[in-house]
Amino acid sequence: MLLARHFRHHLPWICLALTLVISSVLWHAYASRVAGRWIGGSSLTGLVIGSVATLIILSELLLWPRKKLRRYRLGRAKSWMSAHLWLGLATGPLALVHSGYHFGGTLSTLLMCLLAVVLLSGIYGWLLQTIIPKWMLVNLPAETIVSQIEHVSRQAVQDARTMLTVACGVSPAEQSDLAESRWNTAEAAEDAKAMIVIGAVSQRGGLRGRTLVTAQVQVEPEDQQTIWRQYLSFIEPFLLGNSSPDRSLADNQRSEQWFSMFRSSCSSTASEVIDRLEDLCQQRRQFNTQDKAHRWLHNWIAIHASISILLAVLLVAHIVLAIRFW
Amino acid sequence: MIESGRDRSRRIDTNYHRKVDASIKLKRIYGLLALVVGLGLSVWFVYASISARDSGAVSTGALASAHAFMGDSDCLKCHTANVPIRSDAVWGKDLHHVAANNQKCDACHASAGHFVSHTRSDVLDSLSCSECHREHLGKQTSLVLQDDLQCIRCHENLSAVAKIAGQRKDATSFSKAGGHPEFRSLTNDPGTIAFSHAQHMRPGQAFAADDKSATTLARIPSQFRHLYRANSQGLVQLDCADCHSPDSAWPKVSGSTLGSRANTPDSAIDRATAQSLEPPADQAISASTSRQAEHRYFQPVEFDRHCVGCHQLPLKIQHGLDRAATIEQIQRAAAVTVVQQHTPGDLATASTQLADRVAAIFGQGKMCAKCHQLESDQAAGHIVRPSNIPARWLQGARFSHAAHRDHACSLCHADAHSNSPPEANQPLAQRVMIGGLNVCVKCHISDSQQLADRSSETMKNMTDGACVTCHRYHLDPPNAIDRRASAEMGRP
Repeated sequence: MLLARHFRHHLPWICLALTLVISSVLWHAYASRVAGRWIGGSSLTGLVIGSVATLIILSELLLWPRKKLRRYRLGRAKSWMSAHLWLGLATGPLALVHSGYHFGGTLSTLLMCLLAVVLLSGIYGWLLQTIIPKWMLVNLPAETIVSQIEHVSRQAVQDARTMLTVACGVSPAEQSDLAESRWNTAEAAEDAKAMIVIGAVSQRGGLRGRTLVTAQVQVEPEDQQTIWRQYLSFIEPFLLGNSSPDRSLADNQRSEQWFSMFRSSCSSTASEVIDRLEDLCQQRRQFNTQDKAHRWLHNWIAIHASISILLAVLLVAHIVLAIRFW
Repeated sequence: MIESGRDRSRRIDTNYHRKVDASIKLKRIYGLLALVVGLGLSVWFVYASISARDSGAVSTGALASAHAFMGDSDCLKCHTANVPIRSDAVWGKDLHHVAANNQKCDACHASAGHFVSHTRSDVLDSLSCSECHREHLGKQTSLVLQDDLQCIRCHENLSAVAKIAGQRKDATSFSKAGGHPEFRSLTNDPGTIAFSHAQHMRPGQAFAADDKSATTLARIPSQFRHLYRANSQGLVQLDCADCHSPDSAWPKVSGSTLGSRANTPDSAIDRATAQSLEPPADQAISASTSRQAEHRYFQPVEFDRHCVGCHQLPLKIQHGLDRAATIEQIQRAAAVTVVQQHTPGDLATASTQLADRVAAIFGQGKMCAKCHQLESDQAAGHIVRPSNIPARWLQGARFSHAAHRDHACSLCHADAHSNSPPEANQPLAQRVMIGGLNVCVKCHISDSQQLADRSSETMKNMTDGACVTCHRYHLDPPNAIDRRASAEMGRP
């Protein structure tokens, strides 16, 4: 399931990793049989297998500089990742064979434990990287660049204010704020008296995504104050990522109820505006979910990479001490 | 003015990827931390091992209990820096490395070589102690127990390692057919004593079933009578324990065959135990107290303890004296008798009688010569040839009677219990009463896989037949014969 899509990229590395592991196990078993006991890392077999494992571990770390130097196009990213994945997995059995199936002292045991953590965290990350993006593609159509979530949200606030200014006029309570805004809302309102353009999530038939919506809005004067009040009190804080007094907006179902009540408190002509505000809230909820998914997707790398660094450094110490007392 | 789609796309900073978000910060912090911790630990590990503060940190495992007293304080007590200690390590076979490592072991262990007189010196020089004695495998690990392969490596083709090819036969397995040569030390009995176990095990030690001269309990002097028992016909019935007593009391094990074997009355066991508890007649026995404690051997059979009950010497001659003393004793005792019986003045007759009596003691097939071979060399210090009965028969291996106490003596010494007459071409004195390889392999197998599967009826009583069960590497056979054996070999 995990490999189905890119099996062609994985196959050579799977073969190489399997070849390394199987040949190492067989060679070690044969050499141990000849020696009459499980030979360790200092034997020719153990040393060669250990060296191969070390080279793989060090080459795994090259993924980081390769990422930094991606402008030089040092091979395809998929190939790098496949090699990283399968050769990395091979280091576990190789290290085990190198040790002669014997944990040894503190340092060697520590190295084995660290390697196990690196491998497990790598597998964990691999699963996450396979599952979460697919899920996001289906469930987060409003997905944007994570680092730009707050920026896009501020734009959404600006859009909402423009729309409300056009539809409901400038709120007396917010006049000073509007005057300081980047957009000359009065001018914009003049230009967009008939139509407004808003970037929001909407559904058209079977497609659902973030689209540019053109809408003609007309709000009855008696609703204007209500809409402005609700917007400033609840919707805008939520869109800006601040805690809204009413947490209903953070949840899909409760948000739907909240907007339903909001709609019922206004005349039917305000529905168009309220719908757009609801779309913006939904967009923000997806941003929040995307932010969580992003943390799941990337924070494990901090563990995986840092333990890998620790492993590599201690591996050097292991080599130095092994040569001194081998 | 209305904002177009292009305007909106420009509203996102195209250099967004240059910005450091929280996840990148986290990676950098953790990475830096790992680097610092890794470098710190590395420095500590290296420092600890070099400064001998806590070498256990870099040790590959706990030392065996025999070396545990050294602790993990200093690797260089056994290791030589930057020199591979294990022979299977890369460059581990380098002669300089082996010598450097063995020198460290020799500082504490004055171990004997291995067939130094037979093995090529370059082969021995290339063998590191650690080749067999593997350390750092845990406290409970035995440094002595070895896999058969360790021995077979050389013994499967001894010609390649021996100074003179063909002197010794190859060995590849104890229990497989042809895998182990017959026991060399059992091929010939070097003893000079003429003794029939079969006859002595018969009731009354009769030569034949209707032998009228069979020994009855009444014919045994009263002072020795309590040591023996008679059967229902009044004939003396000996058993093994009447003459063979262990070097120390057997450990009491319920169900032990030697301790309660069916063919041996309890009284005989008691006697054997009582005899074994007596102060040993031979000082050499007391010298080997460590072996006594292992209950491996039997005390040598002695005339004054085991034979004299039935075989009293005439003229109260003392057994075991040298030639001059024995002759003097015989002449003195015989002279007393002759003088008492002779007619005064008839010195010629007296002299002849004295010579006859002495000749009767030394004559072929009489008295001494009944059991001993007379020494033809008059210059020799003794009248009869040394008995040459080995106190330890299996000289190339170790055998423990205590370990086999659950078995009847006849399992290995079948000939000693046989009622069949000795074969004409194999005199009794040359007949070894010890079963050979074919007896051992009934119970000892070297195939560990077979041994592991003891579920079948035929396998449940099988036991280990590994090389180290009987052999020791550091015993050079000429030096391996214990002092008791040496004393026995030199005693008439």
